Amino acid sequence: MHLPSHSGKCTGFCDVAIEVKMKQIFGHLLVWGAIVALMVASLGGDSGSDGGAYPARPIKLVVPFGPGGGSDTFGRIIKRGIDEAGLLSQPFVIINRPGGSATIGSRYVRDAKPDGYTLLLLHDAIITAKYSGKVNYGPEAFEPVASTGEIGMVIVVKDSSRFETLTQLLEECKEKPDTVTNGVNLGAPTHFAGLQLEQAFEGSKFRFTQSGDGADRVQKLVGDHIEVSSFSVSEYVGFKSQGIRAVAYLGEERCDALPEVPTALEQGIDVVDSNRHYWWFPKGTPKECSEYIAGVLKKAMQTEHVRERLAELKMEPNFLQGQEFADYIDNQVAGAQKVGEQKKPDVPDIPTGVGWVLVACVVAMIVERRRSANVDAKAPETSVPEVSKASPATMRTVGLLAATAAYVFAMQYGVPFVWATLAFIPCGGFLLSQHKRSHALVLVETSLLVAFGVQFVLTKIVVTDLP
Amino acid sequence: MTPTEQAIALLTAPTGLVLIAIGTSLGITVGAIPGLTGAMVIALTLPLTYSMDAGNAMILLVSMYVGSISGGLITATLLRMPGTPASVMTTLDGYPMAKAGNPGRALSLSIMASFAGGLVSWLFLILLSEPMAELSTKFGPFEFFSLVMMALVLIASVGGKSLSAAMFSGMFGILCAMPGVAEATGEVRMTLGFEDLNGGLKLLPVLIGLFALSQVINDVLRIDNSVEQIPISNQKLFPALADWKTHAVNMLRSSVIGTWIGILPGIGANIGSVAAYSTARTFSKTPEKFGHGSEEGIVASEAANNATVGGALIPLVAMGIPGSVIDAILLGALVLHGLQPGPLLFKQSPSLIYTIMGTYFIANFFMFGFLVLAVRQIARLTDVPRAFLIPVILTFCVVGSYALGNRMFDVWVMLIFGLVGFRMEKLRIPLAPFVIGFVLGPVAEKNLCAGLMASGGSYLPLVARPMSAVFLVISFVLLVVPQIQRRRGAKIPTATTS
Repeated sequence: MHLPSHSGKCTGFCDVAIEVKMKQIFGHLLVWGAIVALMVASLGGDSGSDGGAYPARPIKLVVPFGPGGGSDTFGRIIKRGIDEAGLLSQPFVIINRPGGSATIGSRYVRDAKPDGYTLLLLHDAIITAKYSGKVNYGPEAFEPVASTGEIGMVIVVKDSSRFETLTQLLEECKEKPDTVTNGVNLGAPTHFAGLQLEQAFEGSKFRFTQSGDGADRVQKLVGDHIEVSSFSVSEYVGFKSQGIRAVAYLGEERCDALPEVPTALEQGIDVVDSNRHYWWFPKGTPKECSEYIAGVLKKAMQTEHVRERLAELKMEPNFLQGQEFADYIDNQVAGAQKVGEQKKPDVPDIPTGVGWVLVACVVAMIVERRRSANVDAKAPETSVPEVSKASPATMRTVGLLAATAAYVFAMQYGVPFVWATLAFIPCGGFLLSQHKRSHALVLVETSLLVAFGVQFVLTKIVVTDLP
Repeated sequence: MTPTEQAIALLTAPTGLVLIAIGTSLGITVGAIPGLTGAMVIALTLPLTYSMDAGNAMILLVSMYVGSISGGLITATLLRMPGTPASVMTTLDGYPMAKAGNPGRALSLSIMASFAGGLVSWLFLILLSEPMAELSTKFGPFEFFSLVMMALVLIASVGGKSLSAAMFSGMFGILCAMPGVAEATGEVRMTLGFEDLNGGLKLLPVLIGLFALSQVINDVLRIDNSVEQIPISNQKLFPALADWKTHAVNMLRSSVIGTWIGILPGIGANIGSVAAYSTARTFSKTPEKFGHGSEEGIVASEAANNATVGGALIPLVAMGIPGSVIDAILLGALVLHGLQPGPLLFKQSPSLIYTIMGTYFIANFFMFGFLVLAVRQIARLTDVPRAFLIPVILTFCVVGSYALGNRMFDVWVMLIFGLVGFRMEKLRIPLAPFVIGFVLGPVAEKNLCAGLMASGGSYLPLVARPMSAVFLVISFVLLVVPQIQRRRGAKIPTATTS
C-alpha cells in the first residue's frame, strides 16, 4: 500500500511512525468491534424456539411476481395484518420469485418440501398457465389452503367509443368477426375474460392483441391502438380519468364502487368472472398445516389494516376455505377447459431472424478484420496487453475464477453463506497478494466484516433467504 | 399534496439527503478507483434498494450515477488512468497539467466544469422530458418499434469503430433476451430444456457479469501494474470567479453537446466528451495547447461527460428508453419497483419523476462539495490494494445476482456472462450495444407483434404511419451514410472505449 509519504524529514520521523502504529491498532480495534456487533445482530433472535408445535420455523410466502405488483402488494398487506395482530408465533417472510408468467415461482413451490413452511400466493394464472400450455400442471399439483379477496373485472372502451353496451359490442364482433381489437395479456386472466365473452355470445370473435399490463392497455386504448380491453375494478378506478369507460361489470351483482356500470348478466350475456388471490401449499402438506394457515389468514382478513387497504383497492374481503374453496377452483377449471386450448397467434419468428442477422454480422466482422489486418499489419495493439498463456497473472486469474466457481458450488450444495464467504475471501486475497503473510490479518477481518455484514443486511433488513 | 411537493418532501427529508450524500460520495469513490465503474456499483447496489420504496431507491441510484461520472476526473488527472471510461479525454490535458506542477488547478477546473455540465443538462431534463413524454403517448406499437430500431441502429453505427462488431454485439444482446416466456405470445421458447430458463436471462446477473466480473478479470490480469500518483499539495480547489467567467462559453457549449449526445439512445458519456473536446479544439484560439495541458480541453471533456447524464435521463423518464448502460440499470430498477417505464410514467407517478429530477439537481451540488472538500482523501482511497478489494467485489457479484431471484441459477448466469464479456472485449467487440440490444430487443419484438396482431398481419402501417416512417428513414440514413463516408475515406469522429 502506498501510504502518503511522510518520509523526508528526519526530525519527528519516529513520532510519525508511532502515530501511524497507534492509528493502525485503533483501526483494527474498531473493525473487530464492528465485526462483533454485526455477528450479534445477524445471529440474534434466530435461535429457533422449536417446541414441536407447528409452526416452529419462519414461514416463507413465495410471491411469483416482482415487488410492487398487485399480488406482491396484496401479500404485503396480509403480512402486515398478520404481524400487527401477532397471529403467527414465527416470522412470516415474503420472497419474490418473479418471471415466466408466474411459472418460476409456482414451480419452486410445487417442488418444495411439503412440510408446511413454503406457501404460494397465486391467483387464476395458476389455472390459465396450464390451459394456455405454458406448464403441464395446474391447481391439482398443489394443496389448496384458502382464497382471500376478490377483485371484480370490467370490460372497458374509450370514452368516445361507438360502443355503448356490451351487447352492441358483441353484436359487431359477430357481424364482422376478427375486426374489433381486444387488448389482453395472452394466456392470462384478461385473455380468458374475452374468450368467455366470445363463448357466451355465439359467433362473436375478437381480434386479440398482446397489450401488456394495465398501464400499457390504457395508453393503447386512449391512443386508439385497441378498441376494447378488460381491467380489474381497482385498475379501472385508477385509470378512469384518462378517458376510458366501462360497458360491463363481470360480477353477479353491480359493484359498490361502480354503481353506474351494469353487469354482463343484466345485458343478457352469461359471463361472471373475477380474480381472486389463492393460497397454496405443495401437494402432500399435512391437512393440519393448511387448516392452521387458513385460520390465520381468515383472522388476518378481519384486521383493521387489511380491511382499510382492501377498501382502498376496491377489493371484496371474501374468504373461502376447505371444500367450498375446492369446489370454487373446480368450477374455474371447468370454465377454462370449456374455453379450451387456443391457437397460437400468428407472429413472425423473431429469434430465427435475429439468428440469421447474427451470422451475417459474424461473417462481416471476419471479412472486415481480415482486410484491416492486411492493411495495417504493423499497427500496434492498443487494447488489453496480451498476456502470455502461462504467466503468473494468467494463472492467478484462472485460480481466482476456479475459487469463485467452487464458492458458488459450495453454496448451491448447502454450505451456509457465512462459512463459504469466510473461506473464500481470505483464499482469494491470499492468491492475489501472492501469499503475503502481512495481509492475512486484514483479509480475515475483511471476510468477517463482509460475511456478517451481508448476512445482516440481507436477512434482517432486506429479508431474502441466503443459501 | 401535489406531486412536486411530494418529491420535495422526499428529497428534503433526512433519509433523502443522507441517501444523496451516500450515493454521491460512493459514486465518486468508485468512479475514482480505476477498474471499478459506475455501471458495476449501481448494478451491485440495485438488489439493496429492493426493500426501499421506489422514490428512495431512485434517489440513491441517480446520485451514484452523478458521482460515478464525476469521480473519474480524479484518477484521470493524477494517475493518467480514466477512473471511468467517460473521463478518457480528461487524461489528455489533466495529467500534463498536473505533471507540470498544477494538479490543484487541473482538479479545480474539472470540478467546476462537471458542476456546470450537470446543471445545464438538468435544465434540459426538466424542460424537455414532459413534452417528449406527451408526444410519445401518441405512439402506437408501430411507432415504438421504429423508434427502438432507430435507437439500435444509432448505437451500432455511431457507437464504435467497427459497424459489424457493434451490430454483432447488439444482435447477440437481442438473442440473449429471447429465451423464456415470449412477451408477444406468452409461449415458452428457447429454454434448451432448462426449466430455470423459463423466466429468461435476467438483466441484473447479465449486467453484473458483463461489467463487474469481466472488469475484475481484467484487473487481476494487470494487478502487478502500479502507477505513481501525483500528490496534491495544499492548492486551492474552489474554482475562482475569474475561471467561471473565462470558461463560461466553452462550458455552456460543451454541456449542450453533452446533453444532446446523452439524449441519443445508446451513446454513452465517453462519446459526449470526445465530441465536446474536438469542438472546443476547433473553436479554440490556442488549439496547439490541446493534449499538453490545455484548460479548455479539461473543461470541455468534464462538462460534456457530466452533461450526458442529464441528457440520457430524458428518454428514460419520457419514453422508457435507456440512453446508456447505467440508464438500462435504472430502467431495471423501475421495473423492480413495479413501475412501468414509458410515456405514462409521467401520468402515473409524476412524483417519482420529479424526485429523479430533483435528485439530479441536488446531487450535483453534493458532488461539487465533496470534490472540493475531500478530493485528497478520495485520491488516497484509490490506492487500496486490489488483493483486498477484488475478493470482496466477487462476493458482492455473487450475492447481488442471487438476491434478486433467490436462486443459484442467476449466479451461474452471472459467471458465464463475466467470461463472455471478457472474451468480447478481447475481441474488440463493444459491450454497450449488447446491453441496449438486450434491453430494447424484447421491447421491439413486443411492439412489432402487438402491431401485427392489431393490423391483422399487415406490415403496411410501419411505413404508412408518418411518425413510424420518419423513424425508419432516420435509421436507414444513420446506417448507410457513415458507411459511405467511411468508404470514401472521410474522417469521422470515432471514440475508443478502453
